[in-house]
Amino acid sequence: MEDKEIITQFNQSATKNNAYTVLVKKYQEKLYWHIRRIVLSHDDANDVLQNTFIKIWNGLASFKENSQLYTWLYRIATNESLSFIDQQKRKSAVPLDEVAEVLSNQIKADTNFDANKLEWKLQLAIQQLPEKQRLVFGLRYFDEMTYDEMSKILDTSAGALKASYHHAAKKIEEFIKNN
Amino acid sequence: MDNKENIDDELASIAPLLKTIDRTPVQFLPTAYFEQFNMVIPPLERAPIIKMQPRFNWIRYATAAVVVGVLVMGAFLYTNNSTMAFEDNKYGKIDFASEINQLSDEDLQTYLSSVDVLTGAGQQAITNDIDFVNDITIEQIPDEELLKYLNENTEKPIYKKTS
Repeated sequence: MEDKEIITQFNQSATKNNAYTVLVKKYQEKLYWHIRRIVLSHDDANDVLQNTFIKIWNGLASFKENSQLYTWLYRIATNESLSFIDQQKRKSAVPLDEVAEVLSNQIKADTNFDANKLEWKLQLAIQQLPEKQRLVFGLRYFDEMTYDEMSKILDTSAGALKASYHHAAKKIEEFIKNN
Repeated sequence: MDNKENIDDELASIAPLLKTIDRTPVQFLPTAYFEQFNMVIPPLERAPIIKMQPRFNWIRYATAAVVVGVLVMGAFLYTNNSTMAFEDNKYGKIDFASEINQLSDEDLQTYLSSVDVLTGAGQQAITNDIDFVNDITIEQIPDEELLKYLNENTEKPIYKKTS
């Protein structure tokens, strides 16, 4: 079902629940991995995903169709993830210079972790980036978004996002080559 | 969404190693997580609206009455005090001595004759007493009475000389 059709059906009480179920099925995996790349653990990602879909349920009726549903969903998921991260930071009070190490340890704690695999080196390299660069890199590299779409999600100019992405990609490559 | 080729071309120029890495997620995920993922939206439970009973209306009326009373009393006292202050101020500035001096004897006589209090029986008695005192000479007063008067009205007692 196309996004437009989902919105139309969601706004009719008879088809609302069905439209919502379709929307969840269509986007749950993309949103889950987007969230997971930010919060890292599965349990946290699951909680944030639930909250994201609740926000979507509450806000979809007032969604303005002049923007893409896809970017609107990502925007909600990003905001929810960043709010979650902020809460975690306040609770744990990890010093800034130790953040990368804490995140790397979370990656290494994964049951599938294999230090020799390039995919895992990539994951470790991403954790060395500043938060905003991590977000930009993930949206472009994994979610294959255009800079314009990213711009709508992150409220940053396409030019700045492109510069940020290039910078991040170079740093990651360098990290992988050196480790 | 952007074409994967475009992204790969971009990577080839900035970080070619990243182009070769498999982007399939490698992190742990519970089996059949997405198949079992269910979003159950709980129906919004609206809390019952409880209407406030006007049980304490009398308190409002009593408070209003007290406030009105205080305001009226305050206004009354303020107005009264202002008048009195004005009157005090007015009479305080009058020089009565010069005002009386400007009056003619006839006016004074007319005024005095018109006021009963001053020309009444009480005033007559005072005048009579003064006239009576004026008729007595000091020789007629006994020495003992004079001594008694002086003792009562001087700091140092005066004793009768014994001859």
